[in-house]
Amino acid sequence: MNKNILPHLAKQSVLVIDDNSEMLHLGKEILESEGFDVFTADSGLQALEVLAQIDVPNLVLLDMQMGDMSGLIFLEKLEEQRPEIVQNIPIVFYTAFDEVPKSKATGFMRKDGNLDKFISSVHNFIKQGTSQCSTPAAIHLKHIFPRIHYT
Amino acid sequence: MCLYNFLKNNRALIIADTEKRTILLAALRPTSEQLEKGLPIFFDQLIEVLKKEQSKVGAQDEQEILVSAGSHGKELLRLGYTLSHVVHSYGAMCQAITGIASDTKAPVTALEFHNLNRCLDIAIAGAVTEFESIRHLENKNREVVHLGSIAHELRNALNRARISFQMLAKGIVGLGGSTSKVLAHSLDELDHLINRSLSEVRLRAGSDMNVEYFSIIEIISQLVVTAEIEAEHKAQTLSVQIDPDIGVKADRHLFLSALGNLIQNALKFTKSGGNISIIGKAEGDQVVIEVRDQCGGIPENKIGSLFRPFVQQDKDRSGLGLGLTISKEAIEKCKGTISVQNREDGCVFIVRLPAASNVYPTLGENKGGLVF
Repeated sequence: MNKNILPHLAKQSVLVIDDNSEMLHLGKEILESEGFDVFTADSGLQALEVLAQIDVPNLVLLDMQMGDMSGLIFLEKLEEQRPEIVQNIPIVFYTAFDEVPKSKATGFMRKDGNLDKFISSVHNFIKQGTSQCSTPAAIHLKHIFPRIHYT
Repeated sequence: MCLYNFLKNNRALIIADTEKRTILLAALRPTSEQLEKGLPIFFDQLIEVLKKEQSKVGAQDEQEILVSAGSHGKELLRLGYTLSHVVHSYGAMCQAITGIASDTKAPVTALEFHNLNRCLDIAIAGAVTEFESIRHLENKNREVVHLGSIAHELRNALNRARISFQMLAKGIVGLGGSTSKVLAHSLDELDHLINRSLSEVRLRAGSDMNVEYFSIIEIISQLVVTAEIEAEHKAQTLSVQIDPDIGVKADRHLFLSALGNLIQNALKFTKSGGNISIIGKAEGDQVVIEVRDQCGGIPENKIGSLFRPFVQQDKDRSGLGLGLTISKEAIEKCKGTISVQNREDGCVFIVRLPAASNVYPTLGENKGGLVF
């Protein structure tokens, strides 16, 4: 089922990309407990492979500094291979850095150890993404949405 | 006029002699790129200056030499020269010119030699000033990046610890499961990062060592508790073979930090499903500890620089390449040595320390007048 077409009928999903296996484990546990389908990838390359195999997720959480490529390079590669994902799906940096360079990401969340804030930020980003994608016309307007920073 | 012609006509001979003398003086063999782009550039500038001002060197020429020497110093730093090499290479050029001029009885006046020496003095000052200024700036930048990197690693580990604690506290997951292990491991990682930073501070500050006896198995067991959790995540096999009777007299924290870095590196650079072995044995009057990994091997041309600060062999290496430098300094401070060799599909780090006993004084350490 294509979740972009009928988001309200499908279970929402999140792809977590992080080269730290423990962070992936925690992300999966938390988001599954919130009712999401969770996919994980421990590198940029693996994330591209996962995205080729699954339905488009409702949110991508992206680490900034990974072994094989940075989050920024991943975004560039993703745009080359799957531009529709970069244009239509919220891609959010989840990073220990205090700030991130300007990019096509929707926003960023800081790894500050606050579980409640993490969960509510994920819901907010998905809500923003879903409202944008709820009508075909909205998809084309996504680029004018303000970048949101939940820190 | 004569000196200008002499330098121009004997260019190849002087440069070759300068290179030979530089190697002798600086005890360094320049690379082919260094030889091609190093002093020959300055030599040609020197000829130009002497051509322009044959009788005396004016203030404008001095400024030109300073500027060109500055860019020469910058180029030498890029080519990997040391400060000693910079100074010695100019000295070598002076010796080469005067030596060849004397041998060939070149009719060079005292004033011309005076001008030559002034040019060289100015060049040395310019090159060294620029060389040092850029090196200082680079080191400062590295320090800032290094501090940022430590803070980044600490925040990552702290984030995992806090998140897993809150998951346990809220009952999202049960106690005793994998999230509890993440919490334990994150706290261990924080401990390791703090110990590593403190070791670095102690090494830099030249603090006194707290020498005490400890058995190798005691330290390795402490490190293996954390390492096993990390190995499990990557489905790696961690095997440990330590002679229970071997021990050393050293600073426990420095030793722990050095071995911890080696084991962390082995885990990090060994592929998933690979093997890591830690072996501790006695060899004569030494204790030898080997950390073997399956990292795929280190390129031979990088082995020599592996322990140098800020040398990263892989993008994944956290801490910006200071871990092995700290390990080396810490082991050397404990009167030991550390080396690395390639083996099969990985490499082995070998630590050697003087063996010590907990019961009897080590040979040569007894101050009571008895010799064992």
